Amino acid sequence: MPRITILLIATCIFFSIFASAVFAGVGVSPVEITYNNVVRGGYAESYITVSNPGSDAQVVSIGVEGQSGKWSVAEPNNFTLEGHGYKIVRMLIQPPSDVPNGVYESTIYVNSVDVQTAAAIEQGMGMAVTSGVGIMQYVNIVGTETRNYIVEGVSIPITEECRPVQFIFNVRNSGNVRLNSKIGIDVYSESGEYLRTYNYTSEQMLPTKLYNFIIRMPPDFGGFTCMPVGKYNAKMIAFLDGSPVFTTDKSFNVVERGTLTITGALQDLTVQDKATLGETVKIDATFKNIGQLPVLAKLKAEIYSGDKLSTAVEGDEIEVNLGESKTLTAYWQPGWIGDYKVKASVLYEGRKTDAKEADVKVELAQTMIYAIAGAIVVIAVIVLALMLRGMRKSRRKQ
Amino acid sequence: MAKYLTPVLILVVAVLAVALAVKGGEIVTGMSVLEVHPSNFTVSGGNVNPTMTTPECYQTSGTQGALGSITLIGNDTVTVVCNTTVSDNNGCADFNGTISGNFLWGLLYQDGAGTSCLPSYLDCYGNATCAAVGACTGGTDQTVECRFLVQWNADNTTGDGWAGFISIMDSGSLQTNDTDTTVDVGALLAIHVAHTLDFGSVPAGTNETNCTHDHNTLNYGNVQIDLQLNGTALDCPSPYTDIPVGYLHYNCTGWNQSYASASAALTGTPVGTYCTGFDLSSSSDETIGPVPTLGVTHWGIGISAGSGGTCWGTIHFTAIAG
Repeated sequence: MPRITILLIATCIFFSIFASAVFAGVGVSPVEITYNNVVRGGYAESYITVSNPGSDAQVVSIGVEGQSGKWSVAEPNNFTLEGHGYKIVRMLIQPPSDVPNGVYESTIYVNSVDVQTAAAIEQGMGMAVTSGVGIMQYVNIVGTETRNYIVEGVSIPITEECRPVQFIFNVRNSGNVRLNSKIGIDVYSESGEYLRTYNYTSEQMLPTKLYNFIIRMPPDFGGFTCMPVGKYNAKMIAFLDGSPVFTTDKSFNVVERGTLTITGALQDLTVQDKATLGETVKIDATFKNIGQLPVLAKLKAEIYSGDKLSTAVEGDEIEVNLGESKTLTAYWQPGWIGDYKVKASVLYEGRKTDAKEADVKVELAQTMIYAIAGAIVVIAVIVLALMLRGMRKSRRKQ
Repeated sequence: MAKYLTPVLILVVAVLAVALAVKGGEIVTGMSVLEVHPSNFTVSGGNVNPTMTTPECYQTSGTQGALGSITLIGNDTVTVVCNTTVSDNNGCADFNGTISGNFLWGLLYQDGAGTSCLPSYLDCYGNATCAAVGACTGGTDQTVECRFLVQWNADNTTGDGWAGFISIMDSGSLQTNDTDTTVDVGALLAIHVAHTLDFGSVPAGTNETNCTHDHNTLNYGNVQIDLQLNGTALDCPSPYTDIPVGYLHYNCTGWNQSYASASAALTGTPVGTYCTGFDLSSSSDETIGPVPTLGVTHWGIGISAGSGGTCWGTIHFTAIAG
């Protein structure tokens, strides 16, 4: 009996010394997800935003329990949230092809425990309180296929003469099967004179998924070699299987060359600090478009060994829209072991960002070390054997 | 008769003259900066009403929802931007002074609150930062935006939608406005709990009489919450026996209730029925804070005979909308 008293007092002391002001907490929005008209063997997705209402870092885990739990996935399902941080998590479902029609109810549990307590639990120390949020998920499985999509937004950023015009469509596949969107754009002058029609067919869209299609219309159209300054009108129609599903009219402006700023910033460079010979090293750079025009950007990285340029690598060119941040990637395969410095910058529209640097140490792989050691041993044995043989021969001669 | 005719005609002519003068005055008054020529009232320029495209409101980060869909974040604000393009055939210069002089303003409000609402974190955000964005285009068009910091306790759209309103006045005091009526503020479930629960000293082989150990739960979301509670057995080192999870008892509504007869035993999996009366509402703070609401659960413990050593376990609090 006295032992248990000591036990509980000891537990209290542990908490009061190490963690008296620590909290567990988590927030999730929205609080209910409903998938209507999901076809068997199909696909649907949505997003939840997981937030940390406190200042203590939290270890978050996500699981789905209930009737659709086995075919529901959270990406990512385990991560750490810094104090007052948030993360957008993709929830996706892929019902099996033999599941009966009906409504399937589940609960998505988003659980959190502060980092300190998580470590204590792992070590089997003390009693802990953890928190979580349970949100409902309803999936309505149907046997009939539905083909439809919704245009949720259209914008035409201002552009300069002799530059492409961008039509940005936010399109969601609201049906339950994969489909393509076809968009026709008729461009008129401000006075109403027809200039040109531009057609676009999208990539295949997954059900429920939101897509951001950027349609780049070249400036040499409608009799122009270079689209002049002025105000234009666009009549846009989105088609599904030949029938219009969305129509809108919008005007846009083309201004003088040099009016809009083209600026980008290399915000972050991520490279693994250690690599083994033969391994491909991934170089990631976060580039943000902080100008007023969309840009095409690519990562260029120079790899130095000491002061000497060892090699240079480039990634693919991708489009970065106004205000957008994108990860640009390049790959490098080290030629030999050693300490290297990666100096990376982003090339965009004839410009270059300031460079960022990262160090990479390239080592031999453990297996390669064993192989080399083995080879040395084998060679040594062979050399030794040859020497012994030579010695024996010379003795016989004597 | 004839002697009356002349004054009557003079009177009629006078009335007509006054009517014409008044009518002409109205024209001149209504377009105050027109050049008026004595001979024929020729219009050679003047102030015209500005126009505006329908504003579009969106959240700058923290969401993957559609345009107009606002996803709140626990114990924090999110930035909502409403933008539009205003046009004035008098040229963008007609706006420059008024934008800097606060004659561009915005309001983000719940429909039920209306455009004349008083500032409230719950349903009325009038404290926007409004500004011109980028350069004037075509000499007449200017993109403008208003930014709102929306609190975590803002009312969710259930039953009552939101709208984003922008108004602008030009230098001639002519005004235009428009509203995005598609704004949707999502529901947010968010809790915050202290990570300890202190039971003090309890002799082995005995149960506490009542549930008196309090544990606080804060609601940092915009929906009322109930709790689901579950946990693990308290794991004691060998040779002592573990304390079963059911020896932890709780009451979600009242303090000092009987451990034996007025509380629920904790289970290994969440129980969705017992704590439905927890009913912790969301914060109703409108201008100060907002401060989270506080709910208390009350706990008691029993210690099985043979338990000892340093035992450990976990109690898990799950918030559900309720």
